[in-house]
Amino acid sequence: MALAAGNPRQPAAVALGLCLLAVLAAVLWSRLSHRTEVAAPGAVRVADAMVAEAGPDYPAAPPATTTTPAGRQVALPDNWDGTRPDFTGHVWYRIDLPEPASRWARPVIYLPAAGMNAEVWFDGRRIGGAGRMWPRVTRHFYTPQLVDLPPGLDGRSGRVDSLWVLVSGHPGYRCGLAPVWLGEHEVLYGAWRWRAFWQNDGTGVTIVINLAIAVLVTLLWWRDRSHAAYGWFGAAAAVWGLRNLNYVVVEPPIPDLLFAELCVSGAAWFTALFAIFSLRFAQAHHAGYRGPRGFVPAALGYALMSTVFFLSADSYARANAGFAALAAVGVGLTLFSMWRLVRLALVNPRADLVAVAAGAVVYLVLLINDYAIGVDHASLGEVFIRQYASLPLFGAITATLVQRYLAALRASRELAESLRSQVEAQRQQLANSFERLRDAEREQARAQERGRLMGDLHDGLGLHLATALRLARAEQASREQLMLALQDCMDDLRVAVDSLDEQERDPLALLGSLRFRMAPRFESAGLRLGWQVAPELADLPVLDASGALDLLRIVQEALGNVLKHSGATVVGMSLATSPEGTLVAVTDNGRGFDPALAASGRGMGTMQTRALRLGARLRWTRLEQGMTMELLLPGHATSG
Amino acid sequence: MDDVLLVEDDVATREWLAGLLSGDAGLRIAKACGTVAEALDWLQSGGAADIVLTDLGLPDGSGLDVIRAAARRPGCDTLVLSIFGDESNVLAAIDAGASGYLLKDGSLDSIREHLSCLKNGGSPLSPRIARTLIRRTRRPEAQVPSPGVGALLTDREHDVLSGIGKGFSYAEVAAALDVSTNTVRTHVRRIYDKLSVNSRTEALYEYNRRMVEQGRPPIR
Repeated sequence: MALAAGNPRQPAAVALGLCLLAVLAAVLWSRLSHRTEVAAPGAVRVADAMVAEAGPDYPAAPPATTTTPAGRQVALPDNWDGTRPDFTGHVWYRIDLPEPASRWARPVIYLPAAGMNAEVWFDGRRIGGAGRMWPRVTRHFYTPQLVDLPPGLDGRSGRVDSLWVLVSGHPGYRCGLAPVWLGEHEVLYGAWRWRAFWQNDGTGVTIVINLAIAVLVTLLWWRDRSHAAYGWFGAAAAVWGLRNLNYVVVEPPIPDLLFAELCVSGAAWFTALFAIFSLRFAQAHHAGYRGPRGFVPAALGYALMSTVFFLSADSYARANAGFAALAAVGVGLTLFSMWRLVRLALVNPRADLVAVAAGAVVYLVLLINDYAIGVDHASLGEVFIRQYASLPLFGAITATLVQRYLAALRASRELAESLRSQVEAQRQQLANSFERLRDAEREQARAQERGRLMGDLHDGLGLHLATALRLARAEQASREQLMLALQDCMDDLRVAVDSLDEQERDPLALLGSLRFRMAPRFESAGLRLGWQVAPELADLPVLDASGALDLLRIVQEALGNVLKHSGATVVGMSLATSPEGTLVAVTDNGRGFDPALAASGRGMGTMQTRALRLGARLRWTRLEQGMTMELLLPGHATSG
Repeated sequence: MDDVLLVEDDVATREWLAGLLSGDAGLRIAKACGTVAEALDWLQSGGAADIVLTDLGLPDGSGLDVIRAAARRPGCDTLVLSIFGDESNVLAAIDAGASGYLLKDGSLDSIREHLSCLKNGGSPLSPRIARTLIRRTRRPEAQVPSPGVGALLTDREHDVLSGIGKGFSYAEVAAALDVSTNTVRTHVRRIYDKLSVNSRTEALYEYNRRMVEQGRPPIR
């Protein structure tokens, strides 16, 4: 474990060191190579020119050649902040055309940097340029220009040996002219295109990417505020993207001065917001780290102060006066930010944090490079690369956010999966316990059924068998009595069996079968067992096995009593339905008895008990001749 | 003189029935035995019976086998011996080709009545058997599209079954329908025949359906 854990900081530190070396080498190369921007032969770099200042008004024509001696010879780059700090207006630069130029097939002049804007004049006429040269002068300070010259350098009166570059500018914004190139179009085109791509097209792309990152991060932060650092980062990325419009917007919709000042103070805001992000990010990933107290208000105060200062400046020059100091504070803040991110990667050397730190290192070096360019009043034409430096840094930070969300997504999926399986397990458990419950209920029902049947057999069949046995033992018992007792046994058994059929549990089916069973017995005793079913029956109640047996036993008992005791010659069963329920009646024409005594007889008490179980009403009525027993079963489905 | 094959494993019952039947004019016990194997052997070895009486629960198998074997012979009536006329067994026997049942505890009169019924009709239908038969004919036609199930019974036969199902006697059903008791018996006999034939048709239909499903030729 000790080995594996080893010292994971070491590879992180090495990676960051290598990254630092690489970016330093790249900066060094860029600082040295712009002098040899065009390596191929067939092009001439012109680093000196004759200068004539032309005042604030757009001049109608270049100075006459005869007045040339009035001008001064200067070295290029000619940065106005260094050479003419208070000058506003136009300056002519005379570029001498070297001898081989007249032999070039398609001669061109390439202006890597001229600000705010520049035109090329040849043989007394304007032959190329971009935008406007009179107020409001368009912001083409970051736009390289490539202008065709007439082949053979032929003018109206023969070969022309020099041309004029007219530059329009003002103090405080690195105006002036960088060394120019003369040469074959095919040689200089590539260099112009390369610079135009990185300075204009590429910067536009970085703005789009920065704003996209800003929108994405801000939206995610808005929906989930659990990680405050990303809110600061989203704001910083948005400010940074907008601030870089400085390099690509040539004709802003607001006054130039205001636009420029907003861009400059935008850099301060970005620096402050990003520093706060770094602080919060470090706090989130570095347990125990708190950071300097009052850092957030201080950073925001710096940004606010910068804005107030720049916006209150009434000229570029006044604004520029405070640039170095405020930018120095910004560099300090950025140093803090980047140190926090690097420190974080060393403390917590996760791949994504190391990537953020590497982005920070790259960004810091390029920022210092840009700062050095910005305060150098002697140079001109360097490429600012901070906007590119933001890409790996912002990308790495966004990646940490994406990773965070992927991890959260994975966690929630796993949670959902585990919840699902838990629910499934519980469902299974529930189903099992339901199954057990059902089994238990079934078992209970079976037990009840057995109990009921056993009880019934005991009270009915058992009693009849005991009687039969007693008769068989008794010597004076007649065969007739024995046969009747055994017939009772048989009837009891049949009725019990009938009550078990699940499909035969309505009163009509039950009583129909009972009648069929009993009829032969009545006939052999010389009685007629009548049976009447009402022609229109409502829906009959469906009884359970126990209820079916109770109903059968009540009617069977009633019929048995009639057979044994009434001396009747006719007995009738009937079934009808009424609004109160289902009415079953047994009527005979025998001797009859006092209904008040009905409860006292053992058999009748049992019948009442059974009727009670059925929820039925059982009563006897004495007729003129005979008796009628009525059983009113509740619960048939009446139609009204 | 009708020859009777009696298959009953309970010796006392068998002897009582044999005695009872041989005493009755017009019947002769041609063979009395207690196992399925004996009965089938006797039938296969040329034994001829006009009436077969068989118990269902026999020591070596089911009396249904005896009924099936007997039902293939023309002019041979089969009755199941039953203690209660318990319907599930009786219905299975009817499906196998039986024309009714005989109660083992029946009085001489009731057995005579059963046997006489057999000659011009089936044995008495119990209400429960009748209701079961009505339920069968009410099965949704789409479920088993075998020919004749829907129109298995005529209206009159259905009326007869319905009356018996409510527990009325043949005479009461006859009176209610304004026909003679013998006519009711004839209907009952026809119902028995239709049902046993129909159950065989259904079996054939089911068999052929499976054969076709398995890509084998059906039998006709």
